[in-house]
Amino acid sequence: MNRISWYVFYLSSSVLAVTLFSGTAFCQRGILAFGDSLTEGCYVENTTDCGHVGGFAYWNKLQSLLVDNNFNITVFNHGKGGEVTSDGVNRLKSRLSEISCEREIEYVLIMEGTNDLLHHVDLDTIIFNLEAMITITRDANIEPLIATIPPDPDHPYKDIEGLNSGIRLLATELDVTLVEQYNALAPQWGLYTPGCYNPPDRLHPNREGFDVMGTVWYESLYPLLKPTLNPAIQLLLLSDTEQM
Amino acid sequence: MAIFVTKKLHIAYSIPCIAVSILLLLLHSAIASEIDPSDPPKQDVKLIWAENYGQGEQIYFSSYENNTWQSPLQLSNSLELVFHASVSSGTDGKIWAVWTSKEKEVSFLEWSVSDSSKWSKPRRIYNGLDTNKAATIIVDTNNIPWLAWAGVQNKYPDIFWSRWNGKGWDPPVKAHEDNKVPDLAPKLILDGIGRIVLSWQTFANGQYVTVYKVWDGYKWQQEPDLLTMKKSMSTFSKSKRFPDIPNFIKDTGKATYFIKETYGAGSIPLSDF
Repeated sequence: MNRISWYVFYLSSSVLAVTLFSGTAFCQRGILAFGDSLTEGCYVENTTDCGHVGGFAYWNKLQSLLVDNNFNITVFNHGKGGEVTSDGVNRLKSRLSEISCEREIEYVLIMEGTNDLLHHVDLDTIIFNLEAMITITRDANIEPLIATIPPDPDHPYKDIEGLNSGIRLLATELDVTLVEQYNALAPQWGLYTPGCYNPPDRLHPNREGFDVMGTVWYESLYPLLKPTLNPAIQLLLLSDTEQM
Repeated sequence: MAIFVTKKLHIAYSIPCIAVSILLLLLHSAIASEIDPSDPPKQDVKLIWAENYGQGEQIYFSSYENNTWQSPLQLSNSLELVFHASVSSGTDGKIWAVWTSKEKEVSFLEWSVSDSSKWSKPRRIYNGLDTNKAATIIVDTNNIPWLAWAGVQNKYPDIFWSRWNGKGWDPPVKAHEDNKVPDLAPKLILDGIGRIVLSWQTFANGQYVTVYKVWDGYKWQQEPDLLTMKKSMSTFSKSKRFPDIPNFIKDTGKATYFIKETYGAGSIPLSDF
């Protein structure tokens, strides 16, 4: 090979290397878990702009199911205890406009509204805010998923059923993937509570309850998840297969 | 004799000198205490909250006097759900309280007033709105109470306001133009120069923003000086001189402080601390 050929070889190798690693080494694929304390979970060790570190919540189970099934995608926990949906709208907008964290969010998991009911916010306002979150997510070219909220027997005045009916209708109208957390959790809610909160309550789930939540999120995400491999690698594999 | 006279003169001379000295000392200590920066300004601090102490969930009140929270005083005696309480006082010794009482799908505002001896029986405000929540109350410098709250006429809440006219509450007036978005979380404060400031959250351009309006004596004016407004509204919550939250408050999410100081007056939800 002459000198020009070597230059071309080096150049093309470099481009290939950058292409191969760009999807993994430089920018993580991500799922943003968004909501209140039911997303935040328990015993968070540290909180950064990129989400909570440590502790346990539904994200632990969801992440382990993703890894076990060879999906190279990271779950970022952005739950915020006590948050109502009007605050959630602004926080989600700010989180998705961040350019830090070197991640590429592909899905936003939305589960919020139980604190609104606690503070007597009207159902129409909660649904308005959840719709705003869906719009914000889609405007960022990210796929939203929306969940019904779990029971709260400690506060019988909370119209959980009414809100969940509204969430189901919203998901249908906006063609958003609905994640049926309530239906999965409610029949055994007594086993899934109390959680880590002090004093103990029947709103926040324990580890077993969070595991069920994580599994339900995974089952709803599974049909949507895009292939993990970088397109360049896929192309190589495809060409190998064709040669065979 | 001469000694006696001299002694008499000496005493006569000393008495006014001692008196003047004592007066000067007293004056000095008074001035010193006046300018001592660590001395907290005179505060009027009250608490209002919803709690179940065995009577069902009711509205309770306490004031902070002589460095002590007074025993909780039950204001409501309701079989319905009561919540979102607010309290304020002026300079005439009256204390005004307002909260929401929800009966099935309809929620009313209820109010009560204390003339420093006892609280009136709670009365409802019938204003034609099916939903009345998140009420906030402030008494102005003329001792007139003002109300603002989130009421629903159509689908989403709007911000309404009303004033006490001496006999009852004026009919509700919407504080903004018609819109098709939620208007939430009204707050009324008295700023450092005695103006009534109304703020709330409205949805605009894909997010919630805070609107500030000032009463100019005739109507609500959009406040152009947003920075000053934000400073006024956050002055209370940033103060470090509040008394500790008393033990009888179990759920800070259901309680509101009322604070009146030299720089104004307003209510702050305890959940902001």
